[in-house]
Amino acid sequence: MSQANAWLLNFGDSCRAAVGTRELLHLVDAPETFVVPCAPDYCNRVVLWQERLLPVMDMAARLGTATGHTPFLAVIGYQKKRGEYPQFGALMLAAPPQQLQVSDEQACPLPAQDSAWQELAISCFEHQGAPVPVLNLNLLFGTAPQ
Amino acid sequence: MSMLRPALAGAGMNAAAVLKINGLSLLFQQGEVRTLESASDVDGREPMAGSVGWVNYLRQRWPVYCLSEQLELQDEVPSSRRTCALLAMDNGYAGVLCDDASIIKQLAGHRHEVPTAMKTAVTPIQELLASEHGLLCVSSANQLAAYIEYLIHAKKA
Repeated sequence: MSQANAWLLNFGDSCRAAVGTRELLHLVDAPETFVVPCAPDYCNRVVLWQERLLPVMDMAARLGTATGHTPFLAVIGYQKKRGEYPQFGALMLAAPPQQLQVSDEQACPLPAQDSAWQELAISCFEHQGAPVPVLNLNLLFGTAPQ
Repeated sequence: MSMLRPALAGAGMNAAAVLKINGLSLLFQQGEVRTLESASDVDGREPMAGSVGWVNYLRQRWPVYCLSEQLELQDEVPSSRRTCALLAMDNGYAGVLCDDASIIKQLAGHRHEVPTAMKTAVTPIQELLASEHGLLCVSSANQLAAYIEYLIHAKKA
């Protein structure tokens, strides 16, 4: 049985997802963000982090659920292709992330009632009786809005 | 994403004009802002579609637009829009109402690409510049004019 560590991310309003342990780089408390016009509602702010401007993604808004109080930002890193320089982004969180041990036996289908997850998640696992999608960070941050 | 480039290195924008619209700072090459007028000089009679009035320059009148912080067209002019910046485009001029306009003689900071996840096909924002003046959204008169034209057509449709 293979074991994998994951971070459980709480976006508020019972909206949750996970990323791999090595994908979450930094947690920022009450960060200063800046509005960028003409960007989609779910990603219209940037944050300055280590001399980079990172897009700030509001997953609750992206999934069409109510955006609550999200005082934290999770800085994440991902690669477009294996071996390439990492890319960075930030996710708005309602609470600090929680570390999990996930096994293959927990794999389950994506939440059927929410079709948005079909393109935003790469897999899903069950945790405490509920499905937890695993974010496709490359698609989330590497695709231009339609 | 976020390719760092010094603002002065080959940017061709040593002097720039910044138009403030609420919390938004729009940055243009200084030469693209031809004149600054008081918003009270804008003639609000019979405005063109999408515009809020006219401003006179070189014996002609040019449309004046009022934009929100999110760069949406506004029919009602907020009281904070006290200045009209006349932008020079390839094919004429257009006025943009702003709260305040200032000149930066030497730009210092780092330019960043607009992140892919934020870059809509029609955005007039070319780059973002993190500077001592805050986050500046780099645009050009021609791009902003094309964007306004897009908004007007979208409103009609």
